[in-house]
This record gives sequence, C-alpha cells and structure tokens, in this order.
Amino acid sequence: MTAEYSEAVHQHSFSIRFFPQHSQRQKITDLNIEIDGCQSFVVTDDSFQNKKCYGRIAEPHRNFALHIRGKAETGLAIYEEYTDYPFSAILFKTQTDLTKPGKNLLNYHQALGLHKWEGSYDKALYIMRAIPDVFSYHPGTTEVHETAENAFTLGKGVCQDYAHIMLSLLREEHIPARYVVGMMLGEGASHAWVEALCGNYWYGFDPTNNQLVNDEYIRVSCGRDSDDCSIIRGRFYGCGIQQQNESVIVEEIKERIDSYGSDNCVHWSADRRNT
Amino acid sequence: MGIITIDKSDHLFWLGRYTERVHTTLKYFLKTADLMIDSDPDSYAVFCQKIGIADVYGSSENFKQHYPFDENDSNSIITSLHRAYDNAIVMRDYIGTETMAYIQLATDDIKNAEQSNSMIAALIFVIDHILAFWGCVNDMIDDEQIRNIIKLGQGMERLDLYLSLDNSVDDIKRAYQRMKGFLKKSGLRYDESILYTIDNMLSESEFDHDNVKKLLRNLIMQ
Amino acid sequence: MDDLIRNSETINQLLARYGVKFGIYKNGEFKEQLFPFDPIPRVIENGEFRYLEKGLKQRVDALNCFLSDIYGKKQIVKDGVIPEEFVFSAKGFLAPCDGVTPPKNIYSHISGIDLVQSKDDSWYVLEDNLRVPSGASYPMIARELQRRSAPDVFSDNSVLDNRNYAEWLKEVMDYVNTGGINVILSPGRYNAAFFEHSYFAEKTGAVLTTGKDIVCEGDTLYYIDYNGRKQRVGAVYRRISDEYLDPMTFYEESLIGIPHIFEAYRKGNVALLNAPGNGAADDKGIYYFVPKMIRYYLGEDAVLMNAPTYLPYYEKDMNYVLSHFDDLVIKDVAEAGGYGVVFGSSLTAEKKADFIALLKSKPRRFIAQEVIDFYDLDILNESGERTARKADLRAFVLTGSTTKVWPSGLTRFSRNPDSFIVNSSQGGGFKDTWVLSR
Repeated sequence: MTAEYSEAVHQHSFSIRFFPQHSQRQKITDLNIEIDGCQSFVVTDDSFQNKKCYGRIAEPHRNFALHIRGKAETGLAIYEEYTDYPFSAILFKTQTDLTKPGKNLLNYHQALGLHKWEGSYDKALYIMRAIPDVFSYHPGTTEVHETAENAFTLGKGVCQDYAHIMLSLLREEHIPARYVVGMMLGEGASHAWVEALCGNYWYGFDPTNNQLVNDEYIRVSCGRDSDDCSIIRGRFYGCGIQQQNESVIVEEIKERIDSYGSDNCVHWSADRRNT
Repeated sequence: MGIITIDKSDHLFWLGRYTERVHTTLKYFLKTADLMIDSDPDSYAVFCQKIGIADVYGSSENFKQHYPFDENDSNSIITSLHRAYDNAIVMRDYIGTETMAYIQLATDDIKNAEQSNSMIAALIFVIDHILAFWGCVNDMIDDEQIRNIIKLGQGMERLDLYLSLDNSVDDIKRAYQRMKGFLKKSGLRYDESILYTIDNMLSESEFDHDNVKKLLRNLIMQ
Repeated sequence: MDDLIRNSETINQLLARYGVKFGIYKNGEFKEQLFPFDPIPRVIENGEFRYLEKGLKQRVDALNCFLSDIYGKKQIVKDGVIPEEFVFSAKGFLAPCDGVTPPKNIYSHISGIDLVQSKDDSWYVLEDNLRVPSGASYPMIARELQRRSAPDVFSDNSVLDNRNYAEWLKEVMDYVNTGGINVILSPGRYNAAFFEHSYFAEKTGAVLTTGKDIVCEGDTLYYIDYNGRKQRVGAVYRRISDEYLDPMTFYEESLIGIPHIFEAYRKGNVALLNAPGNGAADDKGIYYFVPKMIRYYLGEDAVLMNAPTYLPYYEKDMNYVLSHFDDLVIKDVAEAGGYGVVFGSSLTAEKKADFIALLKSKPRRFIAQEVIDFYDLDILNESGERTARKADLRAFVLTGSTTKVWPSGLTRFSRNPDSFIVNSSQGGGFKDTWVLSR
C-alpha cells in the first residue's frame, strides 16, 4: 500500500490489521513488515487474537508506504482451528448490528427449513449452498457498513455481504460463527468468508465462491463482523488530499516443500491502505 | 502545575490581552464620552480611527449605546469581555474558580449597566471587577509561570493600545519595559532580534508606531 | 431552615458568579444555562443513609464483579443466570475490551446510582450509571455557598460534610494510577457538564485536557507541553463516552478521542476511569438482572430493591405487560437521560396499538416497570411558596481500595408539576442532599 498526500500531513496515527497467523490449516513464515518513515511501531493482539500493528508519525510527511510480505503454507488441515473449550466462542453466537436479521432474512431463514439438518456442519453447508440462489455478486451495490438485512433485500453485493448473510443465518441457528478476512490465490484484493464452530472444530465456508475453504485461502483475521476486522485505520492532521494505491499479490510457489503431503506453499505480499 | 501546553499558554495569553482590552478601551471610552458632552460631539470618530475599528456607529448617541454593549458588534467592549470569558472558562483548573468569578461579575456589570438609568456611570463597576480579577491573579495563582503568561498578554495588549492611542512616549516606554519583563519570565519562546530592533527604535525621540506594532506581532514564536 | 429559604436568591446569584452552569444546544446554538437550585434540602437520617450505603456498596461491588466476569470468564452466562443476548448483543458491550483487565481490576470507579423514594418510604433503584455519571460538583459547591449564607443552620443540624468529594475522587485516581499524572479528559467547553470537568480538575489537581495535548507513543500515554516536554499519564478520568475515546479502536470518525489510548490501557499502562465497556452493565435490560447478580457473585440478597420490572423478552412477562399496559412505564433500553420513556396510560388508542406492535417485534429493546408512587419533595415555586414535586436521588459510589458511598448526592427535581422527568437537560433543578451525622 502506498499513499501520497498533496500537502504534508503530520501527527499521523495508524493501525493495521493484515497479518496472517498460524492456524491448524496454515503455517506462516518469513513475515516481514516495513513502514516507510516509521521506525517504531508496536505489534500487538486484539481481543480476537488478530495481530495488529499500530504507530504514529509525528513529523510532516507526504508519503506513507506499507509493505507486508511473507510465506504461507496452507492446506495443512481441513478445519481452521480445534478448540477444547467451545464456550469461549460465545461472543460469536449473538447477532451484531450488521448481522441482525430483519423481516426478510427472518422469513428466508424460516423458509430454509434448517431443522431438516441435524449437525451444525450440515446446516452451515446447506446455508452456503443456498445463498447463491438468492444473492449474486455485484460490486458497487452495497455500502461499506451495509447490514446483512439490507444487502439481502438488495439481492446483490460483495463477499462481505455474502459473509454477513451467512453469519446472520448461522447465528439464528445458535451456531457460533465468525467473519474472516483473508486472501485468495489469484485475486488482487482481500477476501472475506465465514467460519462456523461445529463441535470442537472451526470450519471455513466461502459463500461467495460456494465452496469450502481450501488450500487457496490465506486467513488473516476474524471477528464478529466486518467492523471488527477493519484492515486499516488512520488519522492525521493536515489538508493534504490523499491518493492511494493498494494491491494484494498472492503467488503460488510451485515446489513442494513440506512433509505433510499437503498442497501449496503460497508466497504473498499484501500492500494495503486507506485512511 | 509544572506543565503548560501550547493551547493552554495561548488561552492564558489571550485572557490577559482581552481583560486589558476591556480595561483600557473602557477607560478611553469614558474619556471620549466626556468629550462628547460639550467639547467635541464627534470625538468618537477619532476614537474609532485611532483604535483601528470601522466607524459603523454614525452618531455619538449610537456609539454610546453600541460600542460598550452590542454583543453583535465584534469590536464592542462586551465582545472583548466574552472573549476573555471564553479563554478563562477553559482554564478554571489553572486560574481557579475564585479568580474566574470576577470575569463573570464584570460580564454581569456590563449587562446591568446597559439596563441602568446611568449607563455610563454604571460602567465603572466593570473596571472595578477587572481590577479585582488582576488582584486575584496576583494573589491567588501560585504558579509564577501562569501569572507571567497572563501578565505578558496584558502587557502586550496595553502596549499595543498605547501605541494606537498615541499615549506619551514615556507611557509607551514604561509599558514596553513591563511587557519585556513578563516575556522573559513567561518561558515562552520569542524572537530576540525583534526586541533588539524595538529597543533601538524606542531610543529615538520619534518612531513609527505602526512599525513597532507590526514587529510586536511576530515577537512570540509558536 | 428558614435562613436557607431566605437566602435562596443569594445562593442562586453566587452559583451564577462561580459559573455553575450547564451547556445546552437550543435551535442549533450553544447556550449556557444556570442549573436552578432549590434551597430546601433533601434530608436523609443517619440510619437511613447507613441502609442505603450498605445496599449501594453491595450493588456496585456486584456490578464490578459482573463486568470483570463478562469481559473475562463469562461464568454468569455459562451458568445460565443471564441469557447471552442480554450481555453480548448489548450496545454497551465492547468486544475490544474482551480479555482486558483494567488496573486493580476495577471497572466502575465512579458509579451514579439513581434512586427514588415511594410514598411508603421505601427506596427503589431506578437506574445504574456506570459510564460517565455526572452531577456531584453541583451539591458540592452549593453546600459551600449555603454554609456561608446560613452558618447557623449547619451548626444546629449535624450535617455530614460533602465537600470531600474531590479528595475521594483524587484517592481513587491515585489508587489506580499506573505511574504518571492524573488527567481529566473533557470533550471541551461546549459539553453540558464542562463546569464539572473544570471544577474537578481545579479541586483534584488533575490536568484538564481535551486530548489534543496527549499522545500515545508506543504503548505509553504522554502529556506534552509547549516546549515539547513529555510527562507520562497514569490515570485518565475521561468524561467522554466510550465510542469517542479512541478513533483507532472505536468510532472512527471521532475527532475528540486520543488515537491508541486504548492500546496503552490494554497493556495496563494507564487507568481509564471508568473503564470502557461498562455500558454492558448499566443498560436497562441488564438492570433487571442486578439482584440476581448480587446473589450470584456475593451470595447475598439485594438490600435495595429494583422498581418491579418486566422483560418482554420472557413470554410470561410479555403477557403481563400486554394485560397491564396502562399501569406500566415502558423504557427503551438504548436511551438515556429521560428519553425513550413512555407511560402506557398516556398514549392514544392509535399510538398504543403502534407501540404494542413495536414491542412485539422488538421485545429485547424494551423493559416495562410498575409506576412508582413517588414521595414528592417540597420546592419553592416562583412566588416563594412550598409546593411538592417529583424528585430522584443520584447517589455517588466511589470504588478505589474500597467502595464508599458519598454522604450526599444529587437530588434532582422536576419543575413541571405533571412531569416525572428530572433531568437537567429537560429543565429540572437540583437540591442539596443532607446526610445527618446522627
């Protein structure tokens, strides 16, 4: 990510949440963060154990550039995470302002007849398969902080909306479910999907692509909804007009380097920004 | 307190300036009002010109009614007092509730004067409470630096007004020396070369008042 | 007592002199208004105060346990005492606070508990305010002035001094301070309670700031002077609400907050009074559960009663509410300051039908309470006669090394004879509250 300001800005505070971490499904190595013009920044965890880095550049500057690079080895398991204390997922069981269903989603939930399915996993799979019948991919339709109900009513949106709708339905079934931000092989932007807690295992479901999360996915962060996972925030003083660019590059490294017999090792570099 | 931020030193400085502006302009207003009785009914126009405000009053009667009391007139005395209040109210923890009360009282005085049968005479009470405010600043604020910043503002405003109102060279020199004293004790950063220039200018018997005023504007560095 | 009444004019003038005002926006313009003061005090006998004190301490201790629990192990939810949606879907529950332990594990340092007395003399808790309760400065300064204007009244009656509030506040700040200066963070002079912010700063020696001169460097908070010198900040008594505290964590558009202050707090490098996230314990939905909390955490029965409350969320309660609608007052869980309060009996048939439809579609959003027959207090009306008005009492409970109840409080009354709403923002006035020493 790079940003240029037409006039110098100062007292620039920023906070970035775009650092993949280990899970049972992926292994991260060679993680490298560079922020031009900022020698000291702090890396910390948020309350969802996402890695986050924040800092402040006091001096006037006209450029801000952030480079994150690393290697991810994916597909190490079919689930994302095992937990021996499922109660700890209680926060993910309740609806948020963005996922709370309204009349239309509630009707849809009724119509799905999820009681047919016994286990959480089967329900989740059914929901994921069902959504594309009523919702289509169409960027530019929904807003940044769109609710699941609104998006559902519009009938089209982006991956964030797919995820919110799925979360809403899962939570109506009292299944703990979380919003996940990550990257996909071959895409130039970040992606979002859903994880549902089924027994002691968190599984990844991607309603946008109507598929289970596989070795093409690199997981970055999670939360109750997209607001918990904002990738970057910033505040500065100055009247500079901002021009920014961001890119996510995920490249596959062909040679097999692991002993799990598993699939890909993916080299990625993510350059992101907005303020 | 030990620690004063840029914003706070700014508020203290302007608190000093506005209270002094109320004090000195009010005194000149009273003097002008006296002149207008029988010697020169239009002397308010001279007053406006000297102090550098537009003569929007049109008549001496209008001037007497608006210049002290009109809250919509950005040059009026009550506006200066409100600005003093605005700077005081955010500094309660530094100057104290007791000290602040005198700004409130002066505001009450000026409002009472407007309603009074003898408007001009009743304005004397405003001066009383401004003086009481300064007395309190001296007496009740323990922190020397806080006192000195307020007094620096006061001294700067007085000097600026004296230069505008063509006070005697002695008055001006005295006001300048006073201000310089507070400046050095205020702990604020200032431009030493400007002081040097003004020192030189004032050593002459004739000097350009406007030039000194301009120099003063850049004396304190942010 | 007559002395007090005779001097009431003087006291109101003196209050004006000392700038005892609150700010209010009317037609988009900022105005400072005097908070009308009534000279007749509310008098609380010592024995009665001891009873209130016991109940308030117990209540605030339990609320602190609750906050520590829901941002920690969540045992009370696990044990099924409180349904999870009342905790984790509440607007005041802030996920970023999950797993964060504040210094000394205190969440609510300054609690304002609103009580009313009914005609049969029983006290009821109406509301807990655990975020930024305001109002203690008013009785403090009114007492100071009344003692001057009617000294005999105070030598004849043994009234416990209430002017120690600032010392108590300072003690609490010092107790949780992690090393550094104390500051009071105010949204600025256009805030309704700015008088109080600046008055407390003066009286506690804390630095008053709007946040512009405070920065977080690394994970430490500093106050910066005009020469760029830094001084570490150890405790922030913040009078701005959670959403505006830190634009990097909470409401992104906030211009008044301090970026990354939450990170310093998370690391335990600064105390925030009160802790962010307290809204999860003082919303009107959680109120219903406070007596259960007291039993759960302290193993005691609640000393102070709640006003009888029904949660339409439970079917049984919904049925009761629908069949007794006209006898109840319905409150919107998300509103405060006297807003979102509806008396069932005051609605026209049409509005009532609309409201019931809303209630049925959003049961979680409302609570219903029996209307308490208030014990009215005398005030002096404009012509100087005594007349009865509705009044409540905000008790201030401070938690530092121990939990203490301030022997005074803010008694607010409604100036409108038909109104139950006592909030200053809606035209109410205040009285001093005396606690007798015997």
